[in-house]
Amino acid sequence: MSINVIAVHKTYGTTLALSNVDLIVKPGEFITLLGPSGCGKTTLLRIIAGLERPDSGYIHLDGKDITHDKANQRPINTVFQSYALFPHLNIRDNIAFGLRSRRVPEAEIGPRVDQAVSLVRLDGMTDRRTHQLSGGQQQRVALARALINEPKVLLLDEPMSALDANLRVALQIELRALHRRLGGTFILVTHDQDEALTVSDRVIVMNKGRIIQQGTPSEVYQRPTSRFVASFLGHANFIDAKRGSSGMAETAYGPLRPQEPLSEENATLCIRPEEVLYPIPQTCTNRVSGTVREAIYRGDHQEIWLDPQGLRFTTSGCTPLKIGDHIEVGLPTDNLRVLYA
Amino acid sequence: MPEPTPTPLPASCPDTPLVWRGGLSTPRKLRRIGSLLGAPAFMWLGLFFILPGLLLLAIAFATRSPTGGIEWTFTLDNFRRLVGYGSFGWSPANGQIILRSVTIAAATTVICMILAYPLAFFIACRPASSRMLWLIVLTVPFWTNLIVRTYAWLIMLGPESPITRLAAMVGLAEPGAALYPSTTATMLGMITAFLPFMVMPIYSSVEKINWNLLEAAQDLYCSRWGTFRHAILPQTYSALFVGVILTFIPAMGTFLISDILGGARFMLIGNLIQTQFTFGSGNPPYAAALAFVLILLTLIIIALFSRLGGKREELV
Amino acid sequence: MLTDPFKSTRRPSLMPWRNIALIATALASFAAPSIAKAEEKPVLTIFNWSEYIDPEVYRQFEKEFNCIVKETNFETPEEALNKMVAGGSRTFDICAVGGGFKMQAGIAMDVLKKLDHSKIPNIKNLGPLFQNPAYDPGNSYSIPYQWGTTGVLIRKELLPAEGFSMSAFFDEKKQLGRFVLIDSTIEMIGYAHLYHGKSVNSVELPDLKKAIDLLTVAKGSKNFMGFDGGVGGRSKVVAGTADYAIVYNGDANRVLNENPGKFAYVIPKEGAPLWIDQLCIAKDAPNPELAYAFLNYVLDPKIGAQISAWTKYATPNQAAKPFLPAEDLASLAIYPDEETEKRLQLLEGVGEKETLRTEAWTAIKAD
Repeated sequence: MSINVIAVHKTYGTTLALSNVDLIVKPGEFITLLGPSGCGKTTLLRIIAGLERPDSGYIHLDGKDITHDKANQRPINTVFQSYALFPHLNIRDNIAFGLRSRRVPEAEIGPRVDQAVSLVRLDGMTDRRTHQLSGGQQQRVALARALINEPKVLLLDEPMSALDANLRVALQIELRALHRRLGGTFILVTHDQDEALTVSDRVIVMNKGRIIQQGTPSEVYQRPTSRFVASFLGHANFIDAKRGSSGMAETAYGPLRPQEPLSEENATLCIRPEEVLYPIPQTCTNRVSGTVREAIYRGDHQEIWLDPQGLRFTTSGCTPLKIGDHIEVGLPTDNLRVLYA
Repeated sequence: MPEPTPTPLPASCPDTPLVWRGGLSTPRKLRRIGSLLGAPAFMWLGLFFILPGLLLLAIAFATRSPTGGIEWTFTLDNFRRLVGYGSFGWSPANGQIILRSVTIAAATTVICMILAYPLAFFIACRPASSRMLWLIVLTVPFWTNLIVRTYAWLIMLGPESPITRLAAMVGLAEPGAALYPSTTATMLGMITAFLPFMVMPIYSSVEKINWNLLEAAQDLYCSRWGTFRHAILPQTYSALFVGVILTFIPAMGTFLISDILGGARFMLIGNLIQTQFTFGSGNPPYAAALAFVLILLTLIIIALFSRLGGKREELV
Repeated sequence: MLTDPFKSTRRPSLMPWRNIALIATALASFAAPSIAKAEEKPVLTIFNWSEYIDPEVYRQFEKEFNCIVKETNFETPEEALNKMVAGGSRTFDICAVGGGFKMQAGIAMDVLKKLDHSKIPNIKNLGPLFQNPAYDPGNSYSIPYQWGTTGVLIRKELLPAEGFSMSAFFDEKKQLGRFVLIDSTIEMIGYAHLYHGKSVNSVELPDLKKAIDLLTVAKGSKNFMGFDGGVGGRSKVVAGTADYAIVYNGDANRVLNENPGKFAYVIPKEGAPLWIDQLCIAKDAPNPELAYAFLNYVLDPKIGAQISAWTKYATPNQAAKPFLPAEDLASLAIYPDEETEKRLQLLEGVGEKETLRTEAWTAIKAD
């Protein structure tokens, strides 16, 4: 189901949480609200859930204005960051909670709980109390508790932040598979760029109460429109540049040819570590030389910092580099993006 | 995916070394320290609660001496009187007195409960700076003796007080008459006396409440009542239980307030016990039996109440 | 206006919560002898109601007998007796006993000393009525200390010309306004008995049953403003919460003196209870000689007059009468006239049957 966020504005006292945010979520889409803490992503999620009121603006669900509907009137369910499972109820009753609140006949609840339980693979644990479960299991109970209501929109508020790294990756993949199986609209909030890139169809990058950039994971990763987005998603080298002649940019490395000529006097060139070429092919025109300051072994690749400017890159070249090696690397024109913000 | 579920620690032998607060110890040692620290409290309870309790039970089976003291001749007479068989034949007096005591105590407890929740939330939601002030306001009455506070109600409900005049204006009372002695006055006195005992524990649990559960309940289609029932009540249940104990038990034994504000019109079980414990005119063994019934009755009602809460007891 | 509820006069209510406050006093009194040892002067410990003696009398006695007088207070006669049984008979020297009805119990519980009259020569000063009271024949255990009546304090304008009848309490149609009954078992039951023309001390089952019914009905009347102690009833009448109340004459006297012309103290047509309070020596008094001296001192004509002039109760000390203030002697609220005296009946103990009154009182208070 589609969600339409229209000019939503929210302040807490003098603190700006959301500044005229517009967002359209298409039916069946899995989007991620990504940003550092305090960027407003959770506030936006809570406004969609109905747990907060916007100061101004509207929320439409399938074209219907639900701005003033209470949380319990919206066909939207949330997986909370802390899971918020009811400690006085066992797993089964936790999962059945939403159905019972809506007075679904008990005969119908049983099979649906069983279905939800096997969907999140918690079979055989339904009689346990929540405190008898591990973090990952609790998270899946929270998921089942939300999904059993067949919400038109499922909201996930940093659902994996409390889990360890391995489990998190496994659950991310599981969540994606679940979305494919069930359809429906998922909105996930995270500050973890890997998670955002892994799970979602579309990433909404937020900062300081605004949406900075949105697009598919590869769009936002490959074509960041700002220094903030480039640095928040993955690593990036930023090179200050001045407009030079015939499409060249003047930099501390000397003249380089970026993707496109600079349209303003000053700009920042941006290239990701894995895009730097080493060993350098003959055809590459943007050549930079330097001394290896730091070389870190990463198993399948090496991570190198190059003096004097601290250019960071990765190489999986055959001969490992050592500190002090004097080398030359290439900054391919196609990857040397021009940013103005 | 395989995930480790927490397993209980293996039962250790009492001398297995273990680390406790940064030092090496054994369960045996810890237990010894524990019993040492707990001993004074247990001795206190044994000496001043269990022992007198047993004595009371023993006296309940003794006979009243001709002069009104205790004579150690076994009898069940006191229990016969307890169920109403006295010098005037069977009388419902005891039943009426007990029923009235329970009703007043229960009504006080329930009303305090209903008032305590909003008050506890109100205080818990104040900024930290003024919260202390509110708590002090709540406890200020305790700085004054209960008798003084109860007499203060006599002035507040007297014929000249603004409250009384207001009540007369809206037709709730006869003009020029006091609002006491009356059941309403008694209840007012009882509620003001016991409300803090209910608010305090509930407040302390509201302060620590997990608000996420409230949001979760709302998110899962709960009405306001449902949110209270499923998200607030279970979290504050143990505090409520404490509040009920702190309110109900003393309310069962109190007769001061009903004597002053209710015009001593009725005896409560406390009055009855007191009257019968008087040498000369009373019957101490019968009083002991009555006191024992009071204790028993209180325990039963508390047990029923905790049963009512059912599984929630396991919580936290 | 509400008078201080804690200031108890001689006969405060039977309300028991005051006991709580008094536990501390009792504990203090039990500790007293050990302190006394440290002092050179002998100590006389008196267990009495509060404000039931002119404190000057103590000072004078101290001077005359080179001793120290310590007073410990109780609030109800029941409390006093309970404490005497619980060790008071060894710690106190002199104990005030609340009326004849408590004397019997006191003697029976063996907490009082049999008096040696040769040590109390002033006993001859007692009036003829008090020489051989039924509750303690020959005054073997007690000397009468003060006496009084339990009558009715009423706003003067409500007082019927033909005199006050108890039907103002017990007959709904004849009630004169809002009223307070006294929260005391024997006195309230005594009132019911007098209304029915029975003996004030009757413990005959039919009489008690009639009393239960009468008081239960009175209690249900819309004019009934509760049971209260003498002080409480007096306060309610003064405050205007009630129009008339059953009180002790001493309580009434204070009001009559403070508000001349506004109130009256009456003995109902049907009669009223008369009571006598005693002073006794504790069975194992630490200082019996001093105790005898004090009893004798109280019976001195001038001292007897000094005490009663202060308490505003009547003295049984015939020889004291010439030294009493004229206005006290003239006050019918202190010394009833002969016609009134005929209607008074002395409250007495009924021994083992005392429980019947308690039981009847419970029945009255149950419903």
